[in-house]
Amino acid sequence: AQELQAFRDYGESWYRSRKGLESRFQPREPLARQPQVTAEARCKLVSWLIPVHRHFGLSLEALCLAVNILDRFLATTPVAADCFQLLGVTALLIACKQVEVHPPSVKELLALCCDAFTRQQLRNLECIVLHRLDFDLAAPTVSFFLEHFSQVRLEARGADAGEAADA
Amino acid sequence: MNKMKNFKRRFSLSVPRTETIEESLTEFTEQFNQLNNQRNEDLAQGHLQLAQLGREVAADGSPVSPPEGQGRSPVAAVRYRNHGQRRCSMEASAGDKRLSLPMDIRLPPEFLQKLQMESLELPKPLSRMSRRASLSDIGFGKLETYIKLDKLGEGTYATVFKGRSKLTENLVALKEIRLEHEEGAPCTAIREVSLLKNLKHANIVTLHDIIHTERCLTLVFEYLDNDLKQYLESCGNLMSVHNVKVRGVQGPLPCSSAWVGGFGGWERLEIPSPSTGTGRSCLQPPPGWHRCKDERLPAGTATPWGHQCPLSGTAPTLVEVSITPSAHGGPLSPAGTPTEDTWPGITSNEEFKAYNFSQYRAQPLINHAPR
Repeated sequence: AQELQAFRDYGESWYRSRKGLESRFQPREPLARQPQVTAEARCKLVSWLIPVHRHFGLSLEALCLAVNILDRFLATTPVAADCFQLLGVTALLIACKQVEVHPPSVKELLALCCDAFTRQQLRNLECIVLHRLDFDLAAPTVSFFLEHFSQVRLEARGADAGEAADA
Repeated sequence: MNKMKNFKRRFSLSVPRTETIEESLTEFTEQFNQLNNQRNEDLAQGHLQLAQLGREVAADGSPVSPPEGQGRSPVAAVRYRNHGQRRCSMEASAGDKRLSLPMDIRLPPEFLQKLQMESLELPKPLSRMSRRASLSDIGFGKLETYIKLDKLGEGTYATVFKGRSKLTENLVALKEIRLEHEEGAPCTAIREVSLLKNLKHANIVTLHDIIHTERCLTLVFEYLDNDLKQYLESCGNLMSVHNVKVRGVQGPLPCSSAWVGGFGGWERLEIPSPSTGTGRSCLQPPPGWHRCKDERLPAGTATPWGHQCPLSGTAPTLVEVSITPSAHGGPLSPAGTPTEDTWPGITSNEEFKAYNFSQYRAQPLINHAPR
């Protein structure tokens, strides 16, 4: 109920502010300058990240943000195929640090990659990603808009029900 | 869990050569170092830079750098303008090379020159990266641009120094965040930077610059003489913390909020102090704030005090007002009955006329709300 009230009060302006930021955070042709990473590889990585985020009980927001970070990084830097998976978990880690209460630990993430990478590698890559994206991480995501529109819908239905009760 | 193992394996199968991971990462790190080097590089010292790069190559035994070293030789004047673009081309060529050429090849300089020329001619819009690059030519993003003066304070995750910017000669506050953590960059730092970058408000301390090195992250803030706590104390506890919270985002309060991370009062505000974030970060005002209770206020009018929420220009006001007399069981509001002066157009509002309010004069706010 509190959530709904907050939505009534601020949903609209929040939506407008996020909408305004949307174009700034849109990845532009993430694969255009990638010599090794193909659309297929990206697809594979993302469909791997989905069960991973479910495994940790992360929010959809975190997942969407991770993919956004991944794509925006790909748009700036050529990545070798063999550390593409590392980039995937790094993006997920950064996204979780931004929006989750309890981000998964580096150790757990590395274990999921069959310990193919070291802690130091992950930390270095995190540093590079943050640097490349210039710490612009507050991206409006699909998850946000989805939630907003379903709230709008709920609200509208609530109002209808209210009117029906009045009549 | 079985499923988990499955997809673990599935992915690792697609990762072909584990032994090259280290290499690719080294390349990354090199790129990163280059970024830093380039920023630090003094235009006049191009040659020194060349020599230095050569040494790096020898140390790594990796052939990535020499062709780039060649590319670096153009005259200083040209290089100044093409800084950003050239970097893109360097990366592109490094990437291509990995794919199509054996590792030990040395390309003839003429060929490289040609490559270089081609990529220079590509018309590229000024990207975010290259904009940053050109800013760094001026001195942004470099540690040397700021002179460290006294230490202002130290917390669990950062140390704050007073400093001076060589660019503007202004005082700044330098917040040094150590990055040597098991879990990588602390989430508090990540949130602080990413949120502050999008916030511009008189009462939220401005983030001027970010200096990111491997060991530590330095945030450059505007310098303010007091922090919020000191300011409150200097006022002799005249103001109650609750009112400060309200004022924080509304009216002028001449002090810094970003480095009063430990000051409990801000935590519920969420906006000014992302560094206190233990919960999900969110820019939504907490449910405790109220918008105008009376929806009959014509859309777009400000309250008698003209407060606007800072998060966006069109946001609801944070002060509870009502034009129905019953709401407070007495006079309209401390602002008195609206007049044409305080609320243009109100006297022609049918509904307002229908209430036929008696005229109350505005009362000093202090009678109603203690500071």
